[in-house]
Amino acid sequence: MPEGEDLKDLQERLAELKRQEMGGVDVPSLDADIKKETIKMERAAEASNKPVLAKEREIGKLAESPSGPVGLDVGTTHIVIAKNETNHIQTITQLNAFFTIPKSKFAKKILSNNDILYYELDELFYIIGYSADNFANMFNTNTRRSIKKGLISTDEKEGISVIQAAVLSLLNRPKRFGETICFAIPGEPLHGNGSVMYHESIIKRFLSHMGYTPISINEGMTVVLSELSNEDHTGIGISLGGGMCNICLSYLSFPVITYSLQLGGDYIDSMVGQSVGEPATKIKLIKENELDLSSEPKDRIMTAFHIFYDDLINKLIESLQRVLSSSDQMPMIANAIPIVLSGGTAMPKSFTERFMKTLKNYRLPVEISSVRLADDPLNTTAKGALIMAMTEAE
Amino acid sequence: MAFPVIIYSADKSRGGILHKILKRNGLSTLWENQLSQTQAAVLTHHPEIFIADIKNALKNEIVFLANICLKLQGAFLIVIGGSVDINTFEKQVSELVLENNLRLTDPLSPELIVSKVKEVLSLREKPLQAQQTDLEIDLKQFLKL
Repeated sequence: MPEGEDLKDLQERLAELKRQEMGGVDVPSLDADIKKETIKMERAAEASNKPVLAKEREIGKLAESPSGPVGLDVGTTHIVIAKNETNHIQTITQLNAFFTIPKSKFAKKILSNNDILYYELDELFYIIGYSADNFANMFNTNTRRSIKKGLISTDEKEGISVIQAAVLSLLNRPKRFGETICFAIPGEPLHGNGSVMYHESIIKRFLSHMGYTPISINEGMTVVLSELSNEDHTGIGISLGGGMCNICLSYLSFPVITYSLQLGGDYIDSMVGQSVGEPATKIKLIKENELDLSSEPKDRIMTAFHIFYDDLINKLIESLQRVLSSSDQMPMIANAIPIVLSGGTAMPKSFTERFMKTLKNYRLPVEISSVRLADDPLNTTAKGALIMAMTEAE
Repeated sequence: MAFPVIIYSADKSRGGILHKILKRNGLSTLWENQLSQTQAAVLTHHPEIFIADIKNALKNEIVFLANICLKLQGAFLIVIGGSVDINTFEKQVSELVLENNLRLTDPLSPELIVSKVKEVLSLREKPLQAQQTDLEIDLKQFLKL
């Protein structure tokens, strides 16, 4: 008998013996749950290799009802959703900002005729998203933020309803009640205020009311899920956003150490602005369009950028050294692990090289194999949240 | 399905890492995070190796685990946790249990645990292999081969 047939024969005999032991009841050859889990994991792994197609929310376009799991990033400056399509991952971005104007019939007509996203409350119109930016520019002032330093702002009474309106502009009720949505939450701030639990619960309640089954994931972990599938999801994911830096050390896909620093792009803009006497909004525009950390600074604004970027990188690596060295959760890791950087604050030219150079001045309790920038730094968090949603979806 | 290795860890991260790394090394492993289920699993599967993660465990939990260890019937015990947790555990169990175990204080070293588990399992397989060889010899002699 050929070897293959021999084995098959043996398996059939074993199954027969098991059937007899179970009183004639058929024993499934493969545990159905394990099979289901394996399929889900494979689908999520496949998604992590798909390219991301990103777009901003178009004015006047209605939000869609998703027919599958969704990833959601509610950041300090932007809200991003990610959906799994056949050949790619689609992300849609909305500005997480608002602007208020006094209620009037004239203003209402202007807003409605121009498909501007707004809602009415008390005596005010709340203009949401990218439209708010246009209005703020028109009035030569700044937009207001519902999230401050990564968490729901305590300064804005209507912050929660603004976040809800911004999310609703991207996402409708799901086609299937109870669809899984995974949203990113910050790690506990290392030195700072604000309750992550409150932030998480508020978003969870809102998404539940929309008909979703919400689950949360640490923001640093989304970077690991999105970028480190070839490294067994072992490494350090760092998301450098507008309001905070989120850090996660993952070992075999388990987030072992997570925390956040309430420093980010806004901190740099504000410190540079204060130092050179320019408004933070102007500084932000210069940062996004002109900043190159590889070349010597040409003027005082660029000099200030170099100073405060170095300050941020030093504070970040110093915190990493202190947290990893003092944590009782830190496992012994024999091999060197990678660091992946993501988020808008990591995007200026040569940021990664500057980070690597600074890292050489510190000794971490784990060896670092490489430092690299995520493939699509602005959409990494939403993509990682989507991968998690696909893994958890029923 | 019988599991030669059973893990108890109430910590999702530590338990999850150990479970995953042992499975990845081809070791059939069951992970429980509740004491009553752990007790039931030990009595059902009679594991070769029982790994008890007692990091930050309450005293009552350590007492419960110590009682489970008394029912292990010759299984090899690996206890992991902080030094204070392990001292508490040692006070709860008899010399008999302590003879057949390995105590590893933090930091958690998943790769070391994998190598220890493999070592113990291979040592336990050897007498069985030797026994089979004797049987083979007897059979050959009987058949005059």
